[in-house]
Amino acid sequence: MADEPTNTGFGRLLVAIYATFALAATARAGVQLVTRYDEAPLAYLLSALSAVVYVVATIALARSARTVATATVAFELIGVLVVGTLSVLDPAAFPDETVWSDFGRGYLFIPLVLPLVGLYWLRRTAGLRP
Amino acid sequence: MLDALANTLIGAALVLAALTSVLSYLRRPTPRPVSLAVLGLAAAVLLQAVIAIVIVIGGDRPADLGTFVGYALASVLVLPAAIAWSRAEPGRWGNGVLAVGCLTLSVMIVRMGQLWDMTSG
Repeated sequence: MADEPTNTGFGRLLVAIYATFALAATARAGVQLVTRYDEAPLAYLLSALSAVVYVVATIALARSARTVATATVAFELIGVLVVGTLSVLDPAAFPDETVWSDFGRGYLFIPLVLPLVGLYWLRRTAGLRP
Repeated sequence: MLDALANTLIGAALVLAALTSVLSYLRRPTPRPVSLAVLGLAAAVLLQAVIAIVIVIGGDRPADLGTFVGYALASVLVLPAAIAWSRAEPGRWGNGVLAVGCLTLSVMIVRMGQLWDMTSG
């Protein structure tokens, strides 16, 4: 059985939600980098990295590029866990919010749940390997 | 930013989000009036962004102008993208995509209002 596309059915909805976060993260990082990069270069570069990962994950899911999708979605899960933990332990290191701060609390914790749903969906649509 | 227009758009977006959610649950294709309403809302959002930018150029501006303009531009793109992406699967998932788009839009307009109220004076 071959792999199923990741962009149809529930996948279509998932791509729409991913696109929302790609937009949110990109806009946030763009404004941060353009208007106040000097204040917190590390946090803002991290913010930009999260934006790039969301954008690539969205495109990969939308085009059923399974390998890239799995890598970026897994990276997001690690990102939200690491940045979430660090931002709770050492708030001073993250003076401004990113979508991953406090495990995505500013975004209803969707950034924490989304990669889990994404990985589940990638598994659901994966065919049996020969 | 015009409060009355913003509140009307938020209300319309929430109503359409609810409506498309129900249609999604019922697995019905999006009825033409609903599609037209989403299209009309997209046009009204564009109008709001233009008005906001005109007011900004007129001198009355929010403290965090960069973020506000970012939201204004992004708000214009949300519904056209949702409409385009929903087309391929009318029914459960297409309506779901429209619902996500309308919900996202309502949150963005609320944020725009908050940013606008933090005026630099």
